Amino acid sequence: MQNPYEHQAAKILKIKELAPDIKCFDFKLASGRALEYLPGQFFVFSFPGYGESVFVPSQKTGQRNVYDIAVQKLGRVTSRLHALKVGDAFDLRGPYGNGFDLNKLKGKNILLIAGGLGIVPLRSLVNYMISRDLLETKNRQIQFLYGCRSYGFVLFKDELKKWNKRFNIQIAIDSGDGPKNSGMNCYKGNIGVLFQKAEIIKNGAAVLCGPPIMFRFVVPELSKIGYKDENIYLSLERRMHCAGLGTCQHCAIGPYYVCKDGPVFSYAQLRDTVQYG
Amino acid sequence: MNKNTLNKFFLHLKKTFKIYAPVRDGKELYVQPINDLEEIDFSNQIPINTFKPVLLPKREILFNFKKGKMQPADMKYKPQCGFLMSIMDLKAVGLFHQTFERDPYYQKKRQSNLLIGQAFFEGSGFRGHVRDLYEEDILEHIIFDIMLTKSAKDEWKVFTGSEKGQRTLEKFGYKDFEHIEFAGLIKEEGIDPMLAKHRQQIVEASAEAWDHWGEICLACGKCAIDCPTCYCFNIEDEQDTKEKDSGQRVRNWTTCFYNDFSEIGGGRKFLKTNAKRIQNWYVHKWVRTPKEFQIMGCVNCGRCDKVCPVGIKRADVFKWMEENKRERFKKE
Repeated sequence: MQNPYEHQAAKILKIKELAPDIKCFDFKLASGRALEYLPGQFFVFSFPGYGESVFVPSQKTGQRNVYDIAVQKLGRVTSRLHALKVGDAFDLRGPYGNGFDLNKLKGKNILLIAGGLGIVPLRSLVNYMISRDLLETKNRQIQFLYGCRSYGFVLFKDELKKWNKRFNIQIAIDSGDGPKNSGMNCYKGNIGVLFQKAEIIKNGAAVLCGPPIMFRFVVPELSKIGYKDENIYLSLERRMHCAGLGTCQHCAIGPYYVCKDGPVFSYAQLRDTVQYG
Repeated sequence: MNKNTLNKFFLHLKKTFKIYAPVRDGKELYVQPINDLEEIDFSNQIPINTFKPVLLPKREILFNFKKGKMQPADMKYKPQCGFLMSIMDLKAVGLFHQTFERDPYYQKKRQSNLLIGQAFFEGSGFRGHVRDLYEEDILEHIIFDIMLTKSAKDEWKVFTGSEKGQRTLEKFGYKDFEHIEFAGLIKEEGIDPMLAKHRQQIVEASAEAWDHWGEICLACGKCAIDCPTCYCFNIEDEQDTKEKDSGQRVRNWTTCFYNDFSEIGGGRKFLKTNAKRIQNWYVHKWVRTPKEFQIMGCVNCGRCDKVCPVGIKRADVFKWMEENKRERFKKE
């Protein structure tokens, strides 16, 4: 019998500081093989002596079998990861979860909405679609709404600039320190401000990832402009121990397990369950 | 099988297995390791604690790590025998089998253990010639190796539910048993209508209803620890104190009532209040488990009712939910 808790070895290739206490780690498997996963699926990263934690990787464009994760230093496991250096090894297992259903986004307008580190799974989705030529913008609209604490916490700025050539980006910055010449539309305030100040695309699918408070703000705004519950997708964050097996109960939410039935749910699935946010 | 033979069988098992059985301490029974058949209480009273450790150790090593390198644990389990497990406890084993079907640790441990149940015709509603139906209705749908069905004072009819059970009895030299072929956990007629009703009540319960029970519940977790179908666990790394970067990755029992259960990086908790926690416990047993396995997550053993320090009883919760729903309906 296969041991679902067993890992494969990986190695850190590059570390980049994205913001205070947030680093991006480029890595590849020790075997050199590709990581097979769908965007939005997650892996369990293991650091012997410190424990396991769940992250969503993104494929590096233009580099074969190289991936990255963006991680904020918050607890024991993430502090350990932040202490690692280029060349250091770690382990991972996965992929787990359902990921984003690309068929449901096919040909539709796509409104991407991220708060803080919630950009990570959405970036995984965008890069996946770009690398497979699935993000055509001729016959549909794509828009990205992004809420951050301050301009210093706007992650992946270089990539955002590239994305901005393909589709519209609107950024809400709590502290209001967004520079005027960034080429992107920055507003002062939380993400709700974008629904008042910017023209938001309609008649499509909305994909959300961020802190629960953002869901509480944004979902009613989306309903107001006509998004149906079935077309609003949320990628949830939960504590996971077995992670992916649906056993340990830590990530249970109403009738679902985030690690197995999610992490991506439609709002139609979640609206009647307690504590979706 | 009479008591004399049972005693010989017990001594035979003792050579291989560490035996866990119900022992009386005052008014209550407790499952504990025993050495002598005379220590056992043969009544049909449900013990306060469960046979869970025979299936899922309280602390289990998943991996060892040395100098930062992971090594799978050897998965060597000392043979243990659950002796005189009730029908309800064996129903819970069925749920564990489903839940841990892909878990190599659980499976390996199951291979090493022996589960012996005790069933009673008395009180089961199966009297006289319809006793045969008992086998069809109950024993076919639970997991066991050997079943001792009380037939008279100090007399048991013996059934086997697995090859391991058959081999064990044959090795002992006992032939007077019948084999029962496991027919799956779900009976032909489907989920018990009363349990299905409870499921609906949990689905429909309002947030105010849970606030009410959350006010009473202390979130002490006693109900979960003593529940035969609760299996929440943490996976944690334990660092050796003597050798740097060495230690074990372990799986430990926990309960969903504990304060840090739903905490994520940064300290946010999703099950922040006692109301959310008690709701989650009920939803697991009456909603998530039936959704996943088409069986109820409660085997109706009554341990939770008994151990709750503030006297929360499932029947009261369901009754209250029903009345609350009626009142809400009236207001609307």
